[in-house]
Amino acid sequence: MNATVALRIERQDGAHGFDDPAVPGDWTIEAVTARAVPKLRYPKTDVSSGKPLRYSMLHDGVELPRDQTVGTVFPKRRARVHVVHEYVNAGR
Amino acid sequence: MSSTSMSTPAARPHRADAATRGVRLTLPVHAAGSTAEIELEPAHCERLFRAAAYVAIRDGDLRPGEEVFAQLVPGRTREQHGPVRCLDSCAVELLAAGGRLVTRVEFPRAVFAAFAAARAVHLLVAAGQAVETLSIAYSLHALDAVEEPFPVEIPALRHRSIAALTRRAVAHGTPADDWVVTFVAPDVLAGLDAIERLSRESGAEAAGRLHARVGFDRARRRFVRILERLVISRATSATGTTVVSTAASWGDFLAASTGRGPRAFSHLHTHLHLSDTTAGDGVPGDHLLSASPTLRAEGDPCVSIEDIVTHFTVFPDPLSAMLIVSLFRDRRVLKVYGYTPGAALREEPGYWVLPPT
Repeated sequence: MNATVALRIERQDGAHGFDDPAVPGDWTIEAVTARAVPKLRYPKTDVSSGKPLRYSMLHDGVELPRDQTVGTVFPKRRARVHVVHEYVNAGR
Repeated sequence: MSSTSMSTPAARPHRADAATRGVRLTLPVHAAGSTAEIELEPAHCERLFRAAAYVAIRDGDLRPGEEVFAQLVPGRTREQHGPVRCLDSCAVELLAAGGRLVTRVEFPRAVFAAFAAARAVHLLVAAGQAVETLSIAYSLHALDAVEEPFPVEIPALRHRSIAALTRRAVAHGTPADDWVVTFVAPDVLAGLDAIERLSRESGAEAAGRLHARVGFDRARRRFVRILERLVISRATSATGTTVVSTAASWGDFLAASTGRGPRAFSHLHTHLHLSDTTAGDGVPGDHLLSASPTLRAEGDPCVSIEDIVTHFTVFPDPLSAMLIVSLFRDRRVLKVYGYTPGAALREEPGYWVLPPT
């Protein structure tokens, strides 16, 4: 049987967040992140370019590898994580 | 911007059909022979939703901490293109439990101008055209859509007396007193020195984020923003004209968050005005400036369309600020930009510096 992980997933500013008490342990970080984005009320596309935005998951201030599984990354089976994305500032 | 709060609770209709009344907005953009259409997601409009909630709090229509839902509805219709309404404005309706309408705030089409300009610049860059003289036309279209109302939760803002805070503070410029009053802690000023050194030594832009405590002066009906601490981002990718704050760069900032009390995140970056010629390591014409065409040494402090769009989409809270530190050969200029009640961005005319604690 595949163990599950309880995650508290929040946006960087804390404006939106949710608890998922049973994330399948064999899901990748990439898959969990992708599923979290709409629940966190994040945009899917970059309004400037129209291209899809790419999000990352952080735990304890460290960006998690996208290809690792939840069960591997969270051996304690419980964690609070943030989903964030990069942004550009430009002076030209 | 026009803001129309409902005057009395008794006048507020109930919105049992709230989930079916929303619209989806699009922005058709035309620039120099190229066209595109921006499909606005509800998340692109979060700054409007949150601005409407803060207006409602200011006007006494909503209590901080009370959860409401926002939906976009048409404002003034300019003309009708078949099933598509071409709008002069849109509105945000805030709905409380049971579909009660808390308030309705109207926003002009221009609230999306930066999005249209940013897409226009991308169109021109893709076409290999210069951005020197850019003519942009854009419309605001509304399509009926079944949109789930967008949850908006404003933290339970504590009372903060502006009079008590200003008693020992020093004014820089003429601090605004019409919506949000901004205070800067000494630690932030020390952080400015550090990021200036870093940026000058590297010859590249540098970025950081600021923790800010926020509150509400109930007597004066004004919001309070206290910029407490600057955390300089290490995981950035920067040139002389751009700085990318990577996903990993959030790590230090979030780890440094104490999490006590209502807060709003703000952000800061440097602009290098050190050259007599146009800084040249970006993509030509990839950014359109509203005031100054370049970062020349003789230019004025400026803000780019890219900066504005980043602020609108990544920092949608009305109490979030954007700080730009313009570094000239012989001086440093700090500009603070904050939201208006109409969800536009303005340069704050001043701020208060708090004494050391």
